[in-house]
Amino acid sequence: MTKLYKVLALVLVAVFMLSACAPAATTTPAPEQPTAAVEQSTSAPAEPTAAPAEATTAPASTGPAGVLRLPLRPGVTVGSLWTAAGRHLDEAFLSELAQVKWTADGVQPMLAESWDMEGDGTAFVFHLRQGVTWSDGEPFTADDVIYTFNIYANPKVGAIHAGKLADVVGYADVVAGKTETLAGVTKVDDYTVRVELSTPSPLFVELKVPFISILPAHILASVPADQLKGNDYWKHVVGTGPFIMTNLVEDQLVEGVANPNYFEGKPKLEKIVFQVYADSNTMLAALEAGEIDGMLYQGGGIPVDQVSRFEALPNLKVFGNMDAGLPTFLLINLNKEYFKDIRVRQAIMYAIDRQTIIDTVKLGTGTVSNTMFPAAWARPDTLIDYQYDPEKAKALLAEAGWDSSRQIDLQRYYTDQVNKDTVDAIAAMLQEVGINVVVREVKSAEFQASVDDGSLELAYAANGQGLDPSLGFLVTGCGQRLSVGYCNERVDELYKLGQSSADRAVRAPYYQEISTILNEELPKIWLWYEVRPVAFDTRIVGLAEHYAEQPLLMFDVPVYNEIHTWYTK
Amino acid sequence: MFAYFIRRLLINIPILIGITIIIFLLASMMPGDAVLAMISSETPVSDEMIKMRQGELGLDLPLHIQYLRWIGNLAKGNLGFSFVSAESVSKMIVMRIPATLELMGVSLLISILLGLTLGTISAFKQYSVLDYSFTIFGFIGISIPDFFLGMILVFIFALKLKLFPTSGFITAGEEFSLADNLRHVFLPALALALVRTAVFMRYTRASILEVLGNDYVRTARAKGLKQKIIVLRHVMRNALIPVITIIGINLGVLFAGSVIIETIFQWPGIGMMFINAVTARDSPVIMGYVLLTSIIVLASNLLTDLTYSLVDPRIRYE
Repeated sequence: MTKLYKVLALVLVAVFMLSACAPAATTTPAPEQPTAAVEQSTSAPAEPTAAPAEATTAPASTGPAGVLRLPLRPGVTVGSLWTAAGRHLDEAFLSELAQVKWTADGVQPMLAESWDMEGDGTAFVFHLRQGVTWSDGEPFTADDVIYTFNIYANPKVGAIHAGKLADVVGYADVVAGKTETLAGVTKVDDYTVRVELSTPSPLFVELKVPFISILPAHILASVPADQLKGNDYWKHVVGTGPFIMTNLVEDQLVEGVANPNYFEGKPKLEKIVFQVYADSNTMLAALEAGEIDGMLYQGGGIPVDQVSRFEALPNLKVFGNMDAGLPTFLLINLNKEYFKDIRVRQAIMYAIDRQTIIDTVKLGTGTVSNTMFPAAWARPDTLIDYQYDPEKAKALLAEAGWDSSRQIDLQRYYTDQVNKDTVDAIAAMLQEVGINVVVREVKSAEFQASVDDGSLELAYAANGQGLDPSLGFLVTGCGQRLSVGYCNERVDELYKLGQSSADRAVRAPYYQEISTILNEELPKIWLWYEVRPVAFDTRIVGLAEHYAEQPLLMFDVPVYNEIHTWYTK
Repeated sequence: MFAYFIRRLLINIPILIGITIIIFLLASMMPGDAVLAMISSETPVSDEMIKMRQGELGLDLPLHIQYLRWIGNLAKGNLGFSFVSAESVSKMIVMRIPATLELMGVSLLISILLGLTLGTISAFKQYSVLDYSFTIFGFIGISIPDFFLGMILVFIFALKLKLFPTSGFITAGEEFSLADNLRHVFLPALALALVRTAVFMRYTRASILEVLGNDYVRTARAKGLKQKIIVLRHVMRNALIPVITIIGINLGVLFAGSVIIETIFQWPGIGMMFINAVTARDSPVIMGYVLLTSIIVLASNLLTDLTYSLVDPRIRYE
């Protein structure tokens, strides 16, 4: 770093000297020559004050008939292979073999009408739906499925969800670059595909298949894998979804019209529009003014302190307590010597009055957690309840020989007011017991970099596990980067066992044992399960109704919610 | 004069290179890189995926190699491809510039017209009630940050009075129409313009007053020339010189856009593209944007200096 600074300083001096040498005009009474500065604010947009909480009297919604308008965050228009946040475009324009149902209790057969499991999950045979056409008229066949699976796994493509295919036979060879086709995916005939797995995975269809949006082989197979990303296809997606993309303007909007040949029936809505917003306050203002028909979970949904502002609007149905399936915790770097003593972590748990923070700062939203999984079936009834006890915390710290002069860095990357106040409250409570915590707001990239270079100490974080508790492996498994030094072989074993059956009654004891271990060993400082308020305009019949039946939010996986049946009043 | 022009052009080249080096170093010093910026802890990604992506984008190469690669591409006329969307950077910029030009152009137009007019009135009616109220308005205008003004305008005109939309380029879901587009540009342009109006107004007023106090103006009055002729022929031409400076500097801003206003109003210009690129650590886009704005600022400075000599015969270049 110092070398970089020296180089920077040298170049700065050189440039300044050069510009000073620029020939000057000779003038008599010289007019002012202000230095040329590019007049732009390059600081990141400062936190705008939250708009006043008073209710505005909005007239009944006057949105256009037949058109559904939804908001998106930037960065989601790059294409389904690389979208890291939200799969709403996939829900609208593409389909998967099976899609997660909005009721969160299984999958809906989509491009695969049915499937057979061989053995205890060593292979799956998918029977594809016949008569489905792509939006350009070409028929959908097994070739598309095989192409899609291969391209998702291809390392040159860099698909975010490539890891979902890790259990497919041949995945290791594709990742190593030895071949571009997965040996385990075979075409039985034009409408039948067989997928062989290297480890028995009875939950392959429920947990992995919904992430793979099927792409058209007849258009993309000729595109080299490393050139796929910038390809024009992503601006004119040809798919099998309920809508056909008609217009995509990067980071601005995406438009689509109803697909008359959609295999579930032509949608009653005529048009769908996704409007991109960089700033969530702008999104909220647009919702209030009736310019969009709903607030999805991206970017935090509606901040809990603004829920009442939207509840006052007659045309909106607000779900103020929508379970986000989001365990929130303090990430703690277990590679640091001073965090290795369990008593220190216990002390931190006892020092934070989580219930009070929920009751006050979070306006009563959320439930205290003492372990990780949000799904109730994955947790046992008996867990250590770390009730607020600052004296006990101090005693534990004294036992462990904690040095209260040591400064601990607590990172926070959520920028809304509620989360800011929450982290400040946590910091204050920790300082009370002698842990000298200093809060630092960071951007996502900085936080991720601190995980990699080991400078992370504490961070306020959350992890989306709404779809299934098995997702928890990514933050508590041995060697996972977000485990940050935690490794318990038994936990890894239990995760494996937890996926050995599709029957919840069989899986539950394994996850409950993991819950108990995580509760006792405290690899993270468990805080609570978050809510993420969302709101929908009642002029779209079907939108709010389906969310009312959705028990929790499932992040970043396309969700089937019968969008083809919705219509405007 | 021509020699001066050539000299200025030539010295701009090393300045440009220096600017790109500085920005490249600064951008590299920011923690994290494009791949890390894309992932979130809410949906984790494995280590191997991250390393693989970093390798593909060339992020694991030493800094000077990355920079030289960029310069090499530039020499071939290629600004590179975005790390986030793999789109050609030059295409991205070209697509988004018209929106920024529209916003900044409208705002500049409003502020020049208003600023010059109010400043002139203020100067000629010095110390009147009108002058004082304009002065107060001027101070308020210079002090208010434009994003704060933007939010106030949205609150009043878009949410309460419902006269204008809250954000965006056109109404979502509808076809493009000029009237709709102008309705959308009005609030953001106004937010930007009000601040600049105040600046232009103060400069114009001060400059006119300074010229009015000069000997040759007194001579003209003594000669018996009508006030109108004095104003037009002698005062305005001389008073406009510093004003040209300010306008010239603001020309650079025409292309740079206002990052904050574009974000608040969701205006799809290159200002918003830039801030998104910085957050996403999208180096090619950052470098492309900086190169573009640097060239424009340097060019507009040169243009401004040359314009002086047209307006003021006292100014000579050797």
